[in-house]
Amino acid sequence: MTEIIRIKIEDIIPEQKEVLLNQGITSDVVLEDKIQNILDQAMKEFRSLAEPSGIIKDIPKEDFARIYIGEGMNEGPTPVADVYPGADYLALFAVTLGERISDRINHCFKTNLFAEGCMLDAAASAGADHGAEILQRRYEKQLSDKYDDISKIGALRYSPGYCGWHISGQKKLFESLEPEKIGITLRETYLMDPLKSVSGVIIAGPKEIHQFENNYPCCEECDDQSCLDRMQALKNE
Amino acid sequence: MEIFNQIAESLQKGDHEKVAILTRKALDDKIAVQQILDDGLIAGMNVVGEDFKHHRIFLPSVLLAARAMYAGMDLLKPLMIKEDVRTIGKVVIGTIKGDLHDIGKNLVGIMLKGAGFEVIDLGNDVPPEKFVQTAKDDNADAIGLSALLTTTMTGMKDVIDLMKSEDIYGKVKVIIGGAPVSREFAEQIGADFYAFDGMNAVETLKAYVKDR
Ligand code: B12
Repeated sequence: MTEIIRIKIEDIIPEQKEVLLNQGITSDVVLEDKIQNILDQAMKEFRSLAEPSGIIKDIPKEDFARIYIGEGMNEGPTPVADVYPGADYLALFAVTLGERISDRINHCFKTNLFAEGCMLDAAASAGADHGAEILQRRYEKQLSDKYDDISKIGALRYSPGYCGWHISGQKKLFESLEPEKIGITLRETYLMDPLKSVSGVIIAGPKEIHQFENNYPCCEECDDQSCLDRMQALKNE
Repeated sequence: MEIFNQIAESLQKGDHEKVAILTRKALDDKIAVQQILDDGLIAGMNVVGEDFKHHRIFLPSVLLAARAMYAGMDLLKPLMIKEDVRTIGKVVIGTIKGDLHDIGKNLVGIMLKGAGFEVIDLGNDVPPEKFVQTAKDDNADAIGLSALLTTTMTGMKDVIDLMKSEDIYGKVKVIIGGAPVSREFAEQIGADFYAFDGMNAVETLKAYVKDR
């Protein structure tokens, strides 16, 4: 079943510290007033300009296997290839903040409001990620009827371009999910329009299936350690 | 001269209005454009760059200073053209065809301009022909290429190939950057330089124009 979800802005508003961290500012830094003002203004603009929406579609494991193979460009063993066979349920998803927020960011840069543009960009990137998080949480909730003991179950999302799933996987993902229904289109280069969009699969099953050692070939070139944090968070849940 | 210090200090504070007023005053006092640029605006921006590099200030402060610099530059620009004032180098910059991602390229352009380069920003989704033609028409010293994804970064090689066939490869340098790009990739496709951020791009291109 495919569902289109209007996401509430309140649910995806990033924390100030995230927005700052996206620009390399750690939480121990005391902000000058003028920078705090720019941050406050960016959060206000985020609220008025973000048009978050999502699309999610249940997908049988066999169908996902085909989507995962994509254009045949995944490299050797990958975390995703080892995780999904253990899944009970899977869902493709895409989420976008819409075009307006990117238009505003571009406008800021065109009119020399660089700090403002950068702040809003950082907020929008964090917001797009939160949108994906919302869809994942929602999916998890829906699954709770299907299990006796949901506490042993974990749902995590994986995206083309991460964890060995080649970015060209976007093509088959789009063919199946049709995110065009919420205004996301895919370029030949597999880049999504609007820019502040995230796509992927939510994989649900026993928590253990998501645990892996990060010593796959694809891990060698990857300096993103968020997989470790996610695995740890799942363990602690 | 006191006015240069005032310009540089106002710029460091990100006070774009004051920088514009002071620049106007300097022009009214018949101070040479080149000197206002070098000893006021660029001198101020150099301090900002150093402070940023050593984590004494953060990105938003650099960007406020850059806005202030642009406020001064806007006043100087018409005179720079008239008096044929030379910048330290000219860079054509843009995001590769098929890619929409602007922010990293924008930051690099801002830093380069702050360091005294003339920057021609072609925006995003830029075809190879446009990079090469602009570099030729404007006699650029370097082309800066940006990409967000591994699939768009391959378009960098298309630009280099076209530069070769148009016989400007080697004469116009290529500097690349963006999230998925690396030094190894730069070597692989024959790009002259790789830089991991705006400051690094400034240092790299400054060293190049100095040695030239
Ligand atoms: C924020 C972010 C996003 C944001 C949007 C990006 C944006 N900027 O608007 C969101 C959350 C929406 C997102 C989505 C996706 N993302 Co993303 N994203 C990132 C992240 C974490 C930071 C990118 C960023 O904006 N940095 C801030 C800016 C200022 O930095 P920058 O652009 O890199 O520019 C700096 C330098 O690179 C350099 N530079 C840049 N250009 C130039 C040019 C020259 C000439 C020079 C010298 C230097 C230079 O200087 C700049 C200033 O310091 C990177 C990981 C990373 N560590 O970089 C992944 C990353 C870019 N994303 C990635 C992926 C895969 C995606 C998605 C495809 C995932 C998915 N399936 O949904 C989507 C694609 C979005 C789309 N529209 O198609 C991958 C790309 C890998 C690949 N295989 O191509 C990365 C590298 C993460 C990873 N896997 O390691 N993403």
